[in-house]
Amino acid sequence: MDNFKIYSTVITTAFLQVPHLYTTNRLWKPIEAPFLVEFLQKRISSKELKNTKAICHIDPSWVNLNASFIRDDMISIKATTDDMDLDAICRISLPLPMNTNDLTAELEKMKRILLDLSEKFNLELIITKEPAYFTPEQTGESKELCIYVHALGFRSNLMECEPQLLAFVDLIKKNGMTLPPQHYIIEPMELNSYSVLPLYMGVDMENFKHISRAFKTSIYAPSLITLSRDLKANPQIFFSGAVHSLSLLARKTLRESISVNSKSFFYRRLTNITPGKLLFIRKYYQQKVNQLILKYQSLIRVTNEYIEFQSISTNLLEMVIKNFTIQVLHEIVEVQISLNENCAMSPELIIDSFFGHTGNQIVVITPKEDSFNQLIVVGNQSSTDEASDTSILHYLSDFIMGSNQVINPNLRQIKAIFEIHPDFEDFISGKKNGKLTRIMELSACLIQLEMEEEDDNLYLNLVSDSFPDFKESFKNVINEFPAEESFFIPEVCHRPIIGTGGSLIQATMRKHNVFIQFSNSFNLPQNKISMIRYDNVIIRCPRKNKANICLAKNDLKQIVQEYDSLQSKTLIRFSSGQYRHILHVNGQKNIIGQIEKNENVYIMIPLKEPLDGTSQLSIQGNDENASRAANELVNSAFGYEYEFKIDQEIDPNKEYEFYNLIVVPFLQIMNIIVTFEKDLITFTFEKDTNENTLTKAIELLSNYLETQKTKIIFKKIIKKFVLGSASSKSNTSNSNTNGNFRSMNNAKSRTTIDNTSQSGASPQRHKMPVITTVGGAQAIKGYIPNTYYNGYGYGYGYTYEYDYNYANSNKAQTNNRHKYQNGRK
Amino acid sequence: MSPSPSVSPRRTLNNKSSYINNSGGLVLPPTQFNLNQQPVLSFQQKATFDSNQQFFYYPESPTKNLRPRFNSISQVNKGVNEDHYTGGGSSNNNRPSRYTNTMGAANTNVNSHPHHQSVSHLNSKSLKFNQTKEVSSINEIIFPSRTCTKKRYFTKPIDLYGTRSSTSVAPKLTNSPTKSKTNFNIKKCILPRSVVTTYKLPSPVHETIDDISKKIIILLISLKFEKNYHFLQPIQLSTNSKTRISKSLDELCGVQLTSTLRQQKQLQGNSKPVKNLPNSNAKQRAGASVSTNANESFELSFDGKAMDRSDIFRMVDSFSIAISDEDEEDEEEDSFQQRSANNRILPAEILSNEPLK
Repeated sequence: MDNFKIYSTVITTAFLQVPHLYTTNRLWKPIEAPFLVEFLQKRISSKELKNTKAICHIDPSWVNLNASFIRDDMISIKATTDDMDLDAICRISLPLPMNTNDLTAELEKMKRILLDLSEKFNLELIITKEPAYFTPEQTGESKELCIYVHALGFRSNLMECEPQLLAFVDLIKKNGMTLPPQHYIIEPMELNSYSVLPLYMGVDMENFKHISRAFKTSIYAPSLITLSRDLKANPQIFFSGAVHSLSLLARKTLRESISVNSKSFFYRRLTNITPGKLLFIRKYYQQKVNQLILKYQSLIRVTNEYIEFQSISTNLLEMVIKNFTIQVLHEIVEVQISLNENCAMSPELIIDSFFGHTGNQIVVITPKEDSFNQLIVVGNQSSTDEASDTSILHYLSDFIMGSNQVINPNLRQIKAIFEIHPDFEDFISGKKNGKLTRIMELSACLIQLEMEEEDDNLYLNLVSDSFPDFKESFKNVINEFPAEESFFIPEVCHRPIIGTGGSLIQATMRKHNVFIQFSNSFNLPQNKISMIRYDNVIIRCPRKNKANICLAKNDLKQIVQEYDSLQSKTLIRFSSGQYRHILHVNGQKNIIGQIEKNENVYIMIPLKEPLDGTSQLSIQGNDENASRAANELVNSAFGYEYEFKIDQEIDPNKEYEFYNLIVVPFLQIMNIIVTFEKDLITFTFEKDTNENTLTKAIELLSNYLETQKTKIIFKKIIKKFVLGSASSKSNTSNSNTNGNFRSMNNAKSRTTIDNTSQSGASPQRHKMPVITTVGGAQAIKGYIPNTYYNGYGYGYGYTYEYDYNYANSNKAQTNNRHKYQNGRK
Repeated sequence: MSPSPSVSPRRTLNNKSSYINNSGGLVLPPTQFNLNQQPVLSFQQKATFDSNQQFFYYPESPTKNLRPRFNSISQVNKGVNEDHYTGGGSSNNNRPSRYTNTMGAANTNVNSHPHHQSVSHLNSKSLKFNQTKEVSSINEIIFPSRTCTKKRYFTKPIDLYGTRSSTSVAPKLTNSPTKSKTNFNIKKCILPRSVVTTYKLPSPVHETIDDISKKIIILLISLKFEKNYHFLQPIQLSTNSKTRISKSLDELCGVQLTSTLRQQKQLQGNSKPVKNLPNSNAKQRAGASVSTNANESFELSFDGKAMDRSDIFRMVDSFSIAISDEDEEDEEEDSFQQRSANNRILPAEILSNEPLK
């Protein structure tokens, strides 16, 4: 039995019942919590208070409660608890456009399902006419009638139910078109474990983004918070789109591209992490953990007892564990405060001192007694907030040197415990322990480095008897911690950066006093729907010189840009069908990595599927290598193309039919990728496709076109794709479509994989035009996206935010949701 | 948990080494003090570890003499404790990393030779401490015991300045003339794990179960919407309505480009097992929930007919029959033309509410 208590801050929300059209009435209760009653009495009358119902969870063991209104219908409650449970009440709100005037009939259709969801997930589902519990984004264009569906309850229940709720809203609503297709078609998919969710999402959600764009489908998946819960039922993903065959194809493509059944999983645990630190990570590092999960497509799960990792390759597992250690464990420190034996502290003193301000990021561990002379404080080494100081030194100063004047005179000893990855033992110690010795010379302290057999990491103990000495030494120690940044530079540029005999890189490292390490990323795993560029350059230095990393990185980019202008480029004709084909082949054989490695070139695969018909793929290298690599790529990964010109554009109203009868069946039956733009239809197929199959395909296409009073007026087969070398002048014009290294300046180096191939902005090809039919017929509108979503996100938002108070994340969530709705705007 | 037996002898040995070095120049503690420590040492191993540290202190020692003693200590320790890493000389005694990648490709430098010197401390780390072990389930893994709480929480204070009385410390600190000269030696006690094990599993961890009670929307789609999807937006190969799918895109994979009647029958026969799967799930659900909600009724989304729950499951039982009824005998082109004409003539409201054939 543990003989200590762990105190931390808990934040939850109380929701007050508002006028509603319907509610499942499962969780609404009269307000009974004494604290909440007292708080509300200041604002409303006692009589009104009796009639008000709320959904609220305030544990009787909570102390130090504070409350404030977020809105008239929401109250944010903060308290101090010694419970490790993280669940809190929160909500999801969804707008539901109503294209019918018969509101009552629509509600009747929804009630059965809402009751089922409410019962199975223990949630309150409420429908309001006004946007309660959130402020919708103001879109002046939407004048249509809208009702709002809200789900309220514990976060774990909400996260499990969320994809179903999103799918249900799409099932009910219409997309505003006056002609078919008017409904969203939802196709479900089940997984057999939450731990494979990052694999399906892809690096920084690239898989979901690609499928959403290519197949015009929204993807509703569980959020990453579900990875840390012990949910038992299979996770569910829903694909929602207006075209039936594309929804089915989106699901099939995702499942087959990842093919979990054919993979092995590599697993490891960090077992000797203290419980206070584990709780601190779960409370305050969830966003960082989510970033690492998506960047390395791996499971990171922090429980009350250990941290576990799962990846599909040993290399990825090593990378994710090391980066987790550097970015999370290195940042957290535990400090033990010991007073003289004749002096004692009480839990009330601890709560009042450390949790007086509700914004404190801190966890405190005390013995399970009413009186004690030792405690442990867990916090951040450095402040994580620009506005207020969230570093542990700030809290310790307040506690020890504060106005109470009780602690400092009786301070016996103060000890900080840092956790360090074993690879950095020499880095942190310096030559012959010079760094640590110097720290001990500057102020009175003792430094211990220890690592027991059962430890996963190295522990550095900093011991001092006075707080000023401790403070000085603490700052000196964290200044020696490694600061590191990793990013991608094409392997073809590594040699010129390093220089002959390493002379150039040595000069750069000496100039900025940093360490730079290069590796290659050719053999790391790929999949069939995205091209992953793994970080292959690391710049490292002591944290005190952290600014030098940016300077050194700029130097490297300068060299890359200069080298880029000297390189020749071979251009390849590159269509969207070819893009899908090459990704599919690369997922099987990693052909791009092999060619880059063997020929010492860089193949600038666009990050997004090209939508312009005249896109070009660029291969960078010297004259001979680039040309040879281009031919090798075309021979091994390209298919042939057939282009057909028809005598009139494909009717936008019949696009869905073209997908259902031609595009998807051709892909399934004959493995032909059909893409089209206005009056141009393109087949992309394997080189060894049977001639009879092609003839049959053309015949079938003609049959369909005949039903649309259209015919093929021109056709051309394309078997040669290499366009030859480009001079430096023509590089300028090609940069718009194939990207260049200058775009690296805009890339996020920490949260995304740097990729220098950025497609230029191009208009959405499949945007539905606004057509006014002659004769006064009703105008055809484009698809109406879901412009509101204010929950935690449904899994594939680009910037994943974890925020207890929803107002801060409304904007980001809305923007990200809007971006990927049905792959179009 | 009892501590590892291999740890205690090393600490004891180290303690003896410190005593040996005392005669070389360290100020010996008073004999009386030493005698007082003896009973504590015999009772608690921790006490040995704690009091051991005082012998690395150099009160009132001149700075010039620090280096020779420091080096001599590390040399002696190196000889006595092979697995016990203490003192200086780390640059000459590279320790293999426990986290080196088992596959060298990811960390192979493009030009490892030219700048081998600058990264030697990384490249020289061997791979022997990493291993991958295959297990069929996570339950087979025995993880190391957890000792962090015992060793890191509420540890006793260390006596940094040697002799310390029980009286208040503050006056002593402020008045001590030797404070500015006080110096400590780094204490290292690193016992790396000999092997870092990565486990290879055939399936992902934390597998979940097929809980039908939580598949509310999946069941709703399967029971009610799926047929409407195929009605509103049929998927088939061009104008060939015989290739129309009823469930999954996989049905298209079996289509022959020049199909005969016999092959069509075989295809229909092959698709039957797939159709049975939803029925078995539905029956299981019917058995669980019909008894409690048999009298409850609700309206369906598209056709608006009132049905109760038992009607739903009766419809599910006849699901395969309903699919068979959709096989049209009309000529392909004519039926296709009629459907296209319907799309253009009829208003959307009527078309979307058209009852299923």
